[in-house]
Amino acid sequence: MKIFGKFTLTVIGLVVLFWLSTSIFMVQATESAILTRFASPQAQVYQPGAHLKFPWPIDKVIRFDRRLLVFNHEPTEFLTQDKKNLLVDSFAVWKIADEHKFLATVRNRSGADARLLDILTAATGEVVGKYPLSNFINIEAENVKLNEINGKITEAVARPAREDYGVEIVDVRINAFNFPAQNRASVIKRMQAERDRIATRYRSEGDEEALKIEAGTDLEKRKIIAEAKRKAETIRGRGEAEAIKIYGAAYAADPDFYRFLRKLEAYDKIIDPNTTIFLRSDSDLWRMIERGSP
Amino acid sequence: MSEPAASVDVRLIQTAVRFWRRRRKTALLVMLAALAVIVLLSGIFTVPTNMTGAVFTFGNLTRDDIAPGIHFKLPPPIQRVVKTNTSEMRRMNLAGEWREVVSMVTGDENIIELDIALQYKISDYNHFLIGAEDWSKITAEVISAAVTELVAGMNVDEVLTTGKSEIQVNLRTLAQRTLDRYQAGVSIVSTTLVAVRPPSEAAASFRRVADAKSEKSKKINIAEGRGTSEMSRARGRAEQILREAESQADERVKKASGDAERYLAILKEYRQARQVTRTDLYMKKMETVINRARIVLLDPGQNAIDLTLFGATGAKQNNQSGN
Repeated sequence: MKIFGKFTLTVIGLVVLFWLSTSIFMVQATESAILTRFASPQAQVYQPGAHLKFPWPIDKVIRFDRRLLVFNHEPTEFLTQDKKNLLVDSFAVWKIADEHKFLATVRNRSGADARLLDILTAATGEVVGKYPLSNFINIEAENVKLNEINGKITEAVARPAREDYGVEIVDVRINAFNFPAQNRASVIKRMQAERDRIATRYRSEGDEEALKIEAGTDLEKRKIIAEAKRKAETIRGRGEAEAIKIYGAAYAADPDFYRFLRKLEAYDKIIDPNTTIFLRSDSDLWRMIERGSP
Repeated sequence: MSEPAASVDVRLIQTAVRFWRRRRKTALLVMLAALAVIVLLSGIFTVPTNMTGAVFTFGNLTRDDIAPGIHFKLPPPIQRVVKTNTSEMRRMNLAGEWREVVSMVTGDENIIELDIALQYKISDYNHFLIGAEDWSKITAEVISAAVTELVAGMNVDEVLTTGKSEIQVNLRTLAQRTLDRYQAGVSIVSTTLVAVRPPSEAAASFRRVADAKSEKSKKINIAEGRGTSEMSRARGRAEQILREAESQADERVKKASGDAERYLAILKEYRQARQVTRTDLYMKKMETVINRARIVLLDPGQNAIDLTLFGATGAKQNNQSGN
């Protein structure tokens, strides 16, 4: 009895072989996987490698990315503790920690992104509202508490993410903040005013410094001249003293004769064309003038 | 049946078919052997210079250190090979690649725009391959978070001028610390602040400050220059005063010496003939002096005018000469 031909048998054999091959599956190094048996998830989580399952359509493989993933939280406006608007831009590094919960609640990546957006916005709003603006920006670097704020947000997000969605939040960080668009104009205006003030200050400082330098120069100049004059007087004095000493030494040889010469010199000064000399006719001088000898 | 035009190929096939009909088992064995050889040969792969190979066995990363050269792997469903340039320096710019414009707020509430050029390389091939979906994206996010934190703690002048190098150095350490926490497969080699500027609306105001600053130093320079030249002029004047005094003193001393010499010379003469010299000198003086003056001669009998006008000296001298 020959129902099937040789060819038909071969074809059937090949199809069966192919069907059986669907009971082998591979999990890549970047993945983990779980099986659903008739759409019901099975308990075992499969790590990278080759594994066996019931062939299609009994068991189906659902794969999960086991790498670190990044969720980018678009810039969102939050209020700080002192009611300042701040546009906060942040990111979360996360990974799937519980495949079953993840599958049951968010199903896939885009579902996870939607939930992360919700819990991250809530947590960021809550934490940002607990800190004043001066903890975000401050000219004293040690007052900037961004690291602490990041830690608080991570903490606040981690629990709901883990318990509700099977997602492990590795880290959340604020990676930019700015003033909201409606505040930008006034901030720019303030910046301009501040710069103008600084420019004015520099200009007047320049004048002040220049004046100071001039005054200092003046003082120094006067000092130099005064000092020179003082030295000049000393030099002159020394010259005078030496001259006196020379005169003294010379005249000491015959003080009487010196006095005589000095007197003669004095006449030069005392008698000028306006002088009238009265001479007695019996005076020595007159006699000398008259006779030509004393 | 066979024409002379029939090719070697056709004849070969005919031979193979004949062989198949006669010895089916042997033929099957030959075919299997050929297949096995082909499969094995397909497992040969090369890793080019600069690259490192990684082998996945049944999906698992089993080797991540395959050096450049010829290597062997098992056929496709069993083993898979990935090759990456692991020594290459990877570059990224924050502005344009991460965000169109990177805008931040400084510690003194100023807005600034900046760009960071980043160099990083693979530090752990294993982690690089399977640790994260996109390390370059994570790196960009981490760098921007770090620069935000640094800029938030500086005032705008620091960020624009002296703080630049501080930002560059701290940025690398800060960002790398975060990446290490993620067990990143990459490490940051350098971070360069390639542009920092105020937003365009405020740029003119910032320029004015720079102008005022240079104007200030110009004013100071001018004053200092003038001061220097005035000081040297004053020093010259001081030198002049000193020289003058010295020459005066010198003159005074020379004159004294001259006078003294003249005196001593006269004295020498005088000592030889005291009275004659004395009278001579006296008369000579009187000649010149009396010529100038008017002389009124008085009769002693009348004695009308006090002759002390001529001075006690004159009287005394008369007495002396009278002696």
